[in-house]
Amino acid sequence: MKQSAKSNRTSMYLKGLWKKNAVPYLFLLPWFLGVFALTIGPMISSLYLSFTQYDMLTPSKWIGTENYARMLDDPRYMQSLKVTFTYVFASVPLKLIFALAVAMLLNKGIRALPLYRTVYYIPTLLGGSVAIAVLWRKMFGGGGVLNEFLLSVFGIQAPDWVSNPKYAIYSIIALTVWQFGSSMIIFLAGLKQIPMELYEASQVDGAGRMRRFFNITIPMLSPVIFFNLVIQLITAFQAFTPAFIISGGKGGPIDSTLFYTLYLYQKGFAFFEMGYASAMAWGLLVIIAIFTAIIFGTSKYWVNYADGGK
Amino acid sequence: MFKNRMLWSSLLVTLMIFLAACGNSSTNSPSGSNKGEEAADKKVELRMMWWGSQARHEATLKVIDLFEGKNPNISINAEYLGADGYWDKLNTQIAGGNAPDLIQLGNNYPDYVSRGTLLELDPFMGNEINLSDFDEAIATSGKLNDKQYGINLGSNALGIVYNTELIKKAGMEPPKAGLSWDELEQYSKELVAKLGSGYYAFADQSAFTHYVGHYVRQSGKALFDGTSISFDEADMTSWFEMWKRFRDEGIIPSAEKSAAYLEVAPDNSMLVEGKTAMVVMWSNQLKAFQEAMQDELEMIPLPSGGTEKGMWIQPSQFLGVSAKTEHGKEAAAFINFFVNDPEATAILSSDRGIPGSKVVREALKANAEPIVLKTYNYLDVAAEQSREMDREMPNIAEWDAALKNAAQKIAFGAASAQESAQEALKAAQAAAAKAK
Repeated sequence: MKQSAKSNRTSMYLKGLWKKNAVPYLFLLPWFLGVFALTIGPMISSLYLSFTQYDMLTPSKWIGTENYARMLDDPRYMQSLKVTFTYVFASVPLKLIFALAVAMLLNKGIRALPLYRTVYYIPTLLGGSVAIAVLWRKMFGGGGVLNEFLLSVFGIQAPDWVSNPKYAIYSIIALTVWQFGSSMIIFLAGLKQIPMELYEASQVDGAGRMRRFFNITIPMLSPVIFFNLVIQLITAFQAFTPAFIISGGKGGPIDSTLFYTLYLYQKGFAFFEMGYASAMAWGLLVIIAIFTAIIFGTSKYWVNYADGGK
Repeated sequence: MFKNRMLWSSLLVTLMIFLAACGNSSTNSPSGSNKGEEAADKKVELRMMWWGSQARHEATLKVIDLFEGKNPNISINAEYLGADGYWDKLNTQIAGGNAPDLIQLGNNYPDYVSRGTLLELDPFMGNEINLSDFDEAIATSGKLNDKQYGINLGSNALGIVYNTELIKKAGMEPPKAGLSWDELEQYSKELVAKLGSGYYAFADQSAFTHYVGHYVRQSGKALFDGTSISFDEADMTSWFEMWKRFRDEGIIPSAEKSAAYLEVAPDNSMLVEGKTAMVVMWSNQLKAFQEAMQDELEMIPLPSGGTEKGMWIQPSQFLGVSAKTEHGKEAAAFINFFVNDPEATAILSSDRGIPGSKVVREALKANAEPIVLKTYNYLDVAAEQSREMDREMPNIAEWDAALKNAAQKIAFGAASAQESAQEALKAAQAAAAKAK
């Protein structure tokens, strides 16, 4: 009796909720359709495919966890992990530091701020495009602008940054750091939120520039840093376009730019191993989830909310 | 303030889910397959997909227009792109049940036959498709297990293309047709010595699959003999060691330069830039390279050596029909038009290789521009140095990637010739084993 009364109450409650919110849900419908048809659906099918052998052209065959097991002793998979981690752990901090530095410069109350803001944002708009990746190749390549400059000004015979396996990844990292615009805009907004009184008070107390930066700016900005860090990390793990274009889709030379997603793409679309590629995609999801969890988990130690996190 | 934080974190979570899921969205194009059971007076729509250069796109589109003009009830939608990404796109479309009706294929077409994606053309042979003017060997080159799956669009042969001006500049005689590997090396040393620094005798093509094929065939072997890999570690090791020596002698460019200049298309070539004197390429590429540069190019057969002829005439491109098509007849009629019609074949010229039909060939030869004529003449020369071709290695893209890695490891000093040889051989065996 008690049970049914409870469920009855629940259904009444849901009915009321529906009545109240039907219109908003209706407005959300297109979004829901998109999520289910274009995101959740393919995700579930890729989860299924990750347990199969699937060449895309003939029906898939269930092979259990074999794809996952194979990943562990695939040297190219390990190489792709190495490349991706190098990229993420170099590009994300560099990009954030760079974005913060520029944001602080722009926060000095200079004139024509909107102009600068726009100018520095442009690389972010262009950055993902094929044209920029091609341009990058030209700039950092053997006879490129950078090397011409080094040769004529310093007389240094520099290597071909793009075609040398030692440096190729760093030219891609540089490309990413250059696209600091979106992080910068968010930092800039965050900086403007910091009350001036804090700086004034500390100045009266004799705090120097460094002191003010580390004891006021960084703590006050930490929620924004946290946000930028999570977003950039997730994006960086999934980087694809620059490596694809700069290495001609092959991840070379000697797999030095074989990004995780690039290898995934190669396996799936060029080598007819869509099952393996799907397993890789889920592997990536797990990796991203772990790192995101770490950042969230540690956030209480370093992210300050003005209201004490309440 | 509580509200504020809720907002932040919910925004974060939403964004996170969205970003993490981004990579997964599929890219199926919305245009589905044709609805079946169309009335007879309704227009038949076909889709055709090919890869190639701008010149090929223009010629092919013209031929499609011509065909549509003569067959008002058929319209053909063209999808064309460069060689990069072609197979990825094709595979994706086939997987999505959305394959084009007419598909341009290479010698990898058995990969598609074994996966049941190509239509058997035998019912149309002698009806819609007439290959009576074709050379027997070319006509049957599209046959697998005695069934016709593709119609050949052109034949090519590998050869050494050299820059006559650069050789004149060095004050040397042009390289002789039929020179051996040793003679090529000696010749190159002299050439580089005379040209000075910054110039190279030939390109580093140690990772060119078909060049490796030529090399192993010279000792009576093959990359793939139809059932399994038929070369061994020693073959690969000696191949890689030879190229290492070339590099040490300075007759080929450094590892870095070779990684930057792929020499597969004129826009990325030291031959075109006038820095490298010789490059190995397919005969149908000669025209595109010549058009990209001033200095005159000539073509001679690949280096000779070993106990057997290494070269072969390769029927290199095919037109096949999707197994899922609902208009096999119309597709077959188009193929026939594509390879036999005098007007169409004149437009297409020899861009996909030398046509298989004798009649077409004679007609083209009569009006050919000099560079095309050069290709024709070269194919006659190459034929004398050739023996029967082998079937292409299954899943060749995989071996290709591994070969490139293995060769670059040696060039950048990251592996010995023997280690790389083992790696390359293993990849070949894995690629071939997957087909079973």
